[in-house]
Amino acid sequence: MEGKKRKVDRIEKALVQAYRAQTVPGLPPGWRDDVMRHVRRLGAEAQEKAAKPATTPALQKILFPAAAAGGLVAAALFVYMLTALPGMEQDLFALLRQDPSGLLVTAALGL
Amino acid sequence: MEDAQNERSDAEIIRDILGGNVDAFEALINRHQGYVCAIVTKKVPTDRIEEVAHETFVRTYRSLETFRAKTPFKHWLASIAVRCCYDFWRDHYRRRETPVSSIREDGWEGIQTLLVDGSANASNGHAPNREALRVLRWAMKGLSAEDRMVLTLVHLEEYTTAEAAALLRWSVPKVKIRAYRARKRLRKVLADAIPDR
Repeated sequence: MEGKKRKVDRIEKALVQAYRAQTVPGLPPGWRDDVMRHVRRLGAEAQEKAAKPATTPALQKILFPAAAAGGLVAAALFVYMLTALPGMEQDLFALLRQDPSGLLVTAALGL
Repeated sequence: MEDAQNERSDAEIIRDILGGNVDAFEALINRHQGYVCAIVTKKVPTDRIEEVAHETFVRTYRSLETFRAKTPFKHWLASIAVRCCYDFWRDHYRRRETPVSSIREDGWEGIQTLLVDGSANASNGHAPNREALRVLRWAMKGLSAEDRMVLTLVHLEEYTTAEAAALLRWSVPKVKIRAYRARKRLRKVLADAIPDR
């Protein structure tokens, strides 16, 4: 009786031969035109994108670095005021209490 | 005009396309569609060949800017075609709804036929044995998309591991290991379907 391994070998060989014997059918005539239509559409979209004035990226290019730099300067100034001018925080607090527009803030803080 | 296109090298045509002449892409299609078709034909079902070949050229167009003339355009195109076939199967497996039991029955019947009528010996030298192809398609369903691709390239199409690695953009050791395991799995699928007596 033929062993299982031999049977598998036999079947595997037949599968490989059948695979290799397959012929390659050509593509239908309209196929190339379909691809070119798709490619032309992609090309037109890319050109349209390139032609648009890129305002948003330019704005982002300036805005974010400027905001970051401004934040750093403000933080540095605040640290400087706290260290170089002793008692500054008390003065600021007093000013806030005296200032009529600051009343709401002090009331909210419960002072 | 067509003769002029034929005389130009792939690199020249690509430069032209990247310069804004989209119509020049047609020359690349004319030149390489047979090659792409040959790659795609045996790797995907017959009714999906056009679709996968279409996708291959569209992807090629989209990534033309990344093409470096260090390797021939044909090799680069082949790797895109193989990748499209691989993606086709990955997508197919993700959406597969065929119950496993019916797949098993299909294959079992085919194998029985191959063993009983002796057609497992060869494909009679002319037309490929339809039953053998049916069994192959069935057995492949038991493999993952990766296993299917590597098995097809290395065992069925006899690419070297280095060539298959370049086409799949995998490392050579990965191709070797995957190809070995995929073949083992295929043989197991076949062995499991063979009746014990």
